[in-house]
Amino acid sequence: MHLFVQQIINGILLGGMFALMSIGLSMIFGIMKTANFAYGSLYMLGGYVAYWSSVLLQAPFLVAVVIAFVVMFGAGVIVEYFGFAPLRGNEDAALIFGLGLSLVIRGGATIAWGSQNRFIMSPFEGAVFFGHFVVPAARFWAGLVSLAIVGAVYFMIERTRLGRVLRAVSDDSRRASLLGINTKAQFCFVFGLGTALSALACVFLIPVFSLLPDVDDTALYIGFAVVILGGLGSIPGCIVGAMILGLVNVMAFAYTDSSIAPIFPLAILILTLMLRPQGLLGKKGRLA
Amino acid sequence: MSGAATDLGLGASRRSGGPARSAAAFSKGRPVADNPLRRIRLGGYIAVAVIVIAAPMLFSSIYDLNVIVTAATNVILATGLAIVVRAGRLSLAQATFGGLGGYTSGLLVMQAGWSYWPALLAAGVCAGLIGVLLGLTSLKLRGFYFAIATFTFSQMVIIALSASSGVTGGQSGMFGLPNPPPIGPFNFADPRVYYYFAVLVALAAIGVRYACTSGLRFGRALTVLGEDEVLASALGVPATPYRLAAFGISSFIGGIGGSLYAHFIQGISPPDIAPSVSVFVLVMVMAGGSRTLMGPVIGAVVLTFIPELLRASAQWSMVFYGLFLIAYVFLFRDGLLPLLDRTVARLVVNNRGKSRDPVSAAAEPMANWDVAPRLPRHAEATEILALRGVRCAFGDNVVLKNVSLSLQTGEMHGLIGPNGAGKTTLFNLVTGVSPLSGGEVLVRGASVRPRPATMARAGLARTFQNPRVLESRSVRENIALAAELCGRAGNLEYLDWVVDVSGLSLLIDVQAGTLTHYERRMLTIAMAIAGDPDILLLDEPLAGLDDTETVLAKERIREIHTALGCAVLLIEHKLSVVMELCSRLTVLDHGVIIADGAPEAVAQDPAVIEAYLGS
Amino acid sequence: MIGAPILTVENVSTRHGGGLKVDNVSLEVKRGELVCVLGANGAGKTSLLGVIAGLYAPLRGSVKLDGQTVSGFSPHRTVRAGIALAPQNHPIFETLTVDENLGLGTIPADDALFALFPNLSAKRRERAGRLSGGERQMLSMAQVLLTKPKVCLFDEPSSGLAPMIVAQVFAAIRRLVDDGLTVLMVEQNAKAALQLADRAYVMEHGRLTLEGDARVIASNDHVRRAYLGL
Repeated sequence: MHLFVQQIINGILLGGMFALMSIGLSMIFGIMKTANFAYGSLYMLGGYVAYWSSVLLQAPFLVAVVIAFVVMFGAGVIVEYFGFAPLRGNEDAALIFGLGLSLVIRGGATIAWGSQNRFIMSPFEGAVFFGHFVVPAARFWAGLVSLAIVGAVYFMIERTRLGRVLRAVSDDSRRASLLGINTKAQFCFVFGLGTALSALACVFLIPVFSLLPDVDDTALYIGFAVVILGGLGSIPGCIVGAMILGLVNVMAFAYTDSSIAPIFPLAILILTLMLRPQGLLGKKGRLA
Repeated sequence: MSGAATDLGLGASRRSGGPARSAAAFSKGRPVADNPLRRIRLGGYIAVAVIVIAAPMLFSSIYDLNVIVTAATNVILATGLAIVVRAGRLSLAQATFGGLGGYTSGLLVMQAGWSYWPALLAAGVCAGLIGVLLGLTSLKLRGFYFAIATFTFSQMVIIALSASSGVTGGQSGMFGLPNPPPIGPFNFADPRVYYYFAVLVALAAIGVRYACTSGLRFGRALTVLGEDEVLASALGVPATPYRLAAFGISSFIGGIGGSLYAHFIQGISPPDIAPSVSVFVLVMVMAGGSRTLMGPVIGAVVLTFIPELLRASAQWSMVFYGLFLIAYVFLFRDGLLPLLDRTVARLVVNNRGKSRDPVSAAAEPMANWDVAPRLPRHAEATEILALRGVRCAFGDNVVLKNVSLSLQTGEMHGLIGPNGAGKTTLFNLVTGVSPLSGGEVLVRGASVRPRPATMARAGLARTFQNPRVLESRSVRENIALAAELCGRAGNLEYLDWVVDVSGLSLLIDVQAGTLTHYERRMLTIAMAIAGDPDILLLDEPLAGLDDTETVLAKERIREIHTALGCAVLLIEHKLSVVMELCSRLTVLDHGVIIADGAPEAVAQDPAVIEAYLGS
Repeated sequence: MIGAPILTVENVSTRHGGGLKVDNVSLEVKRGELVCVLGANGAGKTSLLGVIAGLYAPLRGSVKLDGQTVSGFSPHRTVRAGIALAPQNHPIFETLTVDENLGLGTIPADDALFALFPNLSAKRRERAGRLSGGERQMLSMAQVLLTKPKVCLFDEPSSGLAPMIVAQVFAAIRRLVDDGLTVLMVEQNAKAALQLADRAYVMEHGRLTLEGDARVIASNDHVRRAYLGL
């Protein structure tokens, strides 16, 4: 029983981390309806930016995080402005562009930095104790940061004028531009912010998921799994989806063979696509 | 018939060469003039054939021989994938199906002691079946959701294969897969033999691809589906069953190719079939161009060779492929082969394509046809199409509420109403595109469930508000395809008449995308009547036409209606035309019928005047 | 108080969705005036407004606001310049509440606005997707007004609305014009539009065929037959 509750806690924490991993994609996919197949590689790139900041510039952890945030925000704006914006309306082309970009980034990263594991000196050492239950400090803080970020994003989207504008643009971008909203700039902002948040996530999750060029695949399919399961366009859905996937993952690893366990979250994703493509909390759109 | 006095005073020349056209098959048309471009293309094909046959002599080192065999198996995979891509879906799982084929034949040969040849077949069948299963669950999804589904599937297969170490060797995979047994004097241990065999299989795959694009009706329908799903549906081609078949065939071919490759390198392991490998296969298809037979072949060869030539590492190959994809999306979206084609064309042939004669189709006079009028449909008027209490709702949004309408055989029936009233939705419902949320649809008195294929076979045809044609094909091909796909192909004389009555005979070989708006409209009508329909749904056929064109089009519609004797349901806003052509009017407003009857009576109905004409 | 011309459309032609939708159209709207453009469906009225609002660039010709050329501006730049369009079928942001729909700009909705559209003030917290046709139209107009435009474009404001609501909407428009707003309106409901407007144009097949004072147009034989059902 004790073990089970510990697993539940682990699952929730993992869910928190999955949410952190996915919030950027949730914004991009949800608001801009852009299936960004380069999300994983941009995520990975953000981690490397932080790593190299800490190594080359001797930057402390938080500074490296901030640098990564800012740099990747810019990178996101560039990718959106030159890449996805001209392709808007042609989903297949956007898909292929995303694939191409991810290949370039991943290949380039491996060539430039090799494929060994990287670590950043993280201030989160040791573990935190709650009565009988143990939580590694890194995961605990990652979970907390997740909550804070997702909460902040939710607040921004739901309660601020900027959030209203973004939701309006997502609802009907033509109408929005007819009301004086610069939809192009809004899209660049969302993409930049989403990418920057993913960089943040990568850095905080290094202790858990490591920093390798092929961490991009993990981020990509976890990201899509969370967003699709939770429902496109729903921030609360992102948390719900992430929690479910986190719990499923932990339970799978705990109670089944660890080599087969990674299949479960993927199976959930495919089942969601089959049975309820709009996700748990998503709005029923034209998905088929 | 109004054949006599319709010289509309446009100064057009009489159509020369009166009587019956040659009996040559309609879709073949007149013989094409000798064209330097054709000769160059032919020369290109011959050159390719020579290189393919001579390749083992040109690349004779062991390493190079490996490369050409890999290229050949990549051709097989790419050709298979191209079938699905041409049908309108991007799959990120082709390498996975290849891998499934390789594992299947490997297991059958090594664990179950099968001979290789049945195992090869089983590899294809197994991959094909899994493809169909995957397709059943995800082909109804939109493009990028489908891509995500295939991507996820790839990932799942890798995990499953890595995990079952007992059976499939887990992460390190299977090795020691034997070469296929010798056939007569040909020993497969010799890479040259393997190469030629792979080339033969590739040719077979290309043959299947040919059948799936232009060789068979199924293939032709598939390509129309890939180009314009809505139009395909209107022509009676249902999307999901066709795509499912395409996906199954594509995975089958993938399985065969993968098995051949696995037994060549004599091993297979999960990293061989990572999603990124499937992306490479997709790059080969897109790079070469998914619209031509040779495109994926060229793409596969080029993209197999270039990394080898550059002695590229796996990572540099990745970067190369990625850059290629990005360049593809922004620079040469048709693929390399059409780009090459265009470049050669511009260098060799000086004019850019067929220059259009300034003769306007509108000037084609309507007299001087040599056509027997169609036999009258039915002696007595019967109800050919009926809607009873029909309702159409999208979630909370109810577009049609309790609509009842009756269409008699041979009647020209107008459907009018303000914008947003639901008229087009009514058409969509009858053709099976919009959901029937309540009520009944009856064709010839029998209740039916409207589905694209069913309604097309029942003799229903439609046009769209925005004229939909197959842009890249000629007028002739558009009409021929429309006739064939709706399952009620008429004879050649009938199609000739269709071309004449639509005024398109001077434009028959012109590419549909270059037509003027009026000509496009007439083409859509020609396509709709190509199958000799009993029920014709025309959705604002006169929208966007100026005064002269409106009169012309109106006359042609009248002519068609008289000659075919079909029932016509006409949505139009040009009320004068509606009044003139229609024997009956139904007025739809906000999803309900507010008037129905003879045009004069309806025009004076106060409710109609208020809602539509302005009170 | 009708003043000097503020919006001039000069020789504008567009190609849109096939064919020449707007064919060499020139018109002008004076400050404080309510001008309506009448015509049947497919006449090109919506495309004309679309060009003025910046949705499409004209093939030929120009649109000038207060002397400044705005044709070729993107829609949001056109709005910043001072032209705002309320499109046909009153699109609003269905997933946002009424308040949120009105809260997209920097200028908040004030009491005067709600006085003009009383039905909306009762439903401020409701999701806009639930509103009735008339309420949507008012919300759409209110959104446009909040951009503080110099010229308002209304595309068939009466479309799809019950006669009583149409009367309300038209009364609101007239009040706005009387208070100094300049409006260019496109309408199919010729009778009501002509009673409301100061001046009118008639558009047929992409060309302007008649122009004049609203009362003069209303007594024109051709117009009476074609559009007033008489």
